[in-house]
Amino acid sequence: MFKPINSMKLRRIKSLLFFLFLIFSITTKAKIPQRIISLAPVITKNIYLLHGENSLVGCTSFCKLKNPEDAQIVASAIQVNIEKVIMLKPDLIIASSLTNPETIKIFNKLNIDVLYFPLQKSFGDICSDFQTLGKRLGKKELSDQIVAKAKNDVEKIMGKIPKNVSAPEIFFQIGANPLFSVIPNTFQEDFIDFAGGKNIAKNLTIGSITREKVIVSNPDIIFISTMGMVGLEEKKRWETYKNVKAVKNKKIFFIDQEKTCSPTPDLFVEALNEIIYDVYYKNNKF
Amino acid sequence: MTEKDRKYIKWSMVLIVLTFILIASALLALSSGELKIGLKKVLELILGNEDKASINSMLINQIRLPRVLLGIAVGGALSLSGVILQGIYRNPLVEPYTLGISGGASLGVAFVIVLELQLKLGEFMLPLAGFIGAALIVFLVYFLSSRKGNISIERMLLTGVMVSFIASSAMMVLMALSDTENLHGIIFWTMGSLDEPNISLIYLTMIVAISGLFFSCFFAKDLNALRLGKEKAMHLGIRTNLVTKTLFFLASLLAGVCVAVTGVIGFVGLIIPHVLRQIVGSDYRILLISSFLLGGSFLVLSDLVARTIISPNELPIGVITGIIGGTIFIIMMNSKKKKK
Repeated sequence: MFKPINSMKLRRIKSLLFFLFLIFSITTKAKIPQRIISLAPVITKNIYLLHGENSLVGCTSFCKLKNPEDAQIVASAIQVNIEKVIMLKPDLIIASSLTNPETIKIFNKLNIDVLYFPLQKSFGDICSDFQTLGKRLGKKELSDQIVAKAKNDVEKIMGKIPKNVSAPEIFFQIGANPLFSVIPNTFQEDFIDFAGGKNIAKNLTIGSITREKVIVSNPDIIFISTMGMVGLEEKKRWETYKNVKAVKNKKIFFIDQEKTCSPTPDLFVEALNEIIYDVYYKNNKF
Repeated sequence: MTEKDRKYIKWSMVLIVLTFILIASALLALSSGELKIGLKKVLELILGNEDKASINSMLINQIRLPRVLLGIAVGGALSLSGVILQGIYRNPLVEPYTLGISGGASLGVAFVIVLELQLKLGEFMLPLAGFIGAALIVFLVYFLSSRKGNISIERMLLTGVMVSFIASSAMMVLMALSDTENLHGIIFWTMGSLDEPNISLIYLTMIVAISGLFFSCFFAKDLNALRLGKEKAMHLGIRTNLVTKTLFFLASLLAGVCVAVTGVIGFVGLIIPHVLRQIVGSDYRILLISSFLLGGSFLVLSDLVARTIISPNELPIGVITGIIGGTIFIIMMNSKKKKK
């Protein structure tokens, strides 16, 4: 027969469970890095988005810190000052495809934990990398929430695309000298795809493109990822080709480089929103 | 018919052939590209009253013609600069960039890109910085090599090579400190391109190149005398110091303007004079103008290869001149060896 547990036994079980929970919490918390070094500006942006800046101790000279005291500079875009990294005693280094593989090997030899993010090739990659980072920083819930919201927003924004319009041909310029275009298998092409457009460089595997190819393709819309004065001069130069459809219809637009070249999930959504507005509603309706 | 007459006839023939090659290269470059356009149509689009806003007209008049004109001017000027410097130094391995001109220009441009001055002030900052960098290096080499108004050719060459190394290393320092987008800009600038949007700069380069050719022709006999050595040239009544200084600055100006407008395009100033010495000999009366014509053709054709070989992608022109120039050089060296 089933014997009821007396109150003494119940108390013991409760104490044991509480003790186990305590140990589990402590060991789990110990795994959450407390001293992080970010080796790419986009990683630093993601850490801020996850409110993990308190753990950030080092970053590159091109990372935008909200407060200069948030972290120390330990690297340029490609060159890492290994001694300075060691002095900061990091328990996690977050590297990107721009980090020299030899440098990563050195960190591995030094038994420093390295989280490596390869080149992101789609919006999906941006989201999954963000979730991986969130999980590693002990912010899984927050990262899942941000990603879910971003995906939801993308769907909503895509709903603003007018029905029954033919897909506009888009040239998305991300470099001027030499001329560089967004190509397939990059997260930037998702901007064009999600906006219901056709990339004029869809057959390219390398981004450098001739000006002749752009003119012959006769795009409906030209996006120039902002490059300061260079971007303005590029716009002026495109405007001299008066018979190109994008010029005729005043459909040459700037888009913030910060949002299109190294976006966090929420910046991707902002950029997509601007792109869809520019393509279908700004100046002349498409 | 005297020996002299025969020589002049040969020179005339060479000039006619080289002019024909230059025109043929230009027409080929104008008709080839993303859209193939027939020669007749090309001429109509340039000379006639065709719709200037049509795609064909835009391709010819706004894209290809400026590149061809710039190619002729830069190719001609770099070859001319190379042949003059080889004459002064009596060294066939000297080219405009041996003296640090490319290093200085690249350093100036890298400086502007790292400080993002071209983003703040405009893209004209790139050629301006390139020219200032080249000019500073030229003056530095000149002052380090001159003693009491006398120029030591050997010292000048060695100083140029060393200054070039220092400038290249300084540029690498800037590259190590720059972000990835700027790094990309510096690397591509050093590989050269004829895609210049500013038509005034193209005209300026053409004027400098043609004036340089015209001016250098007055020194053809002096360069011939310098082939015998500085002392013998002095005995022949040549003011060697003045001639050397003038020609050095002329060659530097030509190379400096070219590198400022198009970036670093190597090998043209080295390979073209070499090829022509095999064909027309070492007389500077024919060598100067023929170098200009063949240099122009070489660069126009190299640009055609650069923009069509992996079309619609484009290769940097410096890569093409390096590969073609280096290959021709090796072939020539081997054929010489076999003849011996």
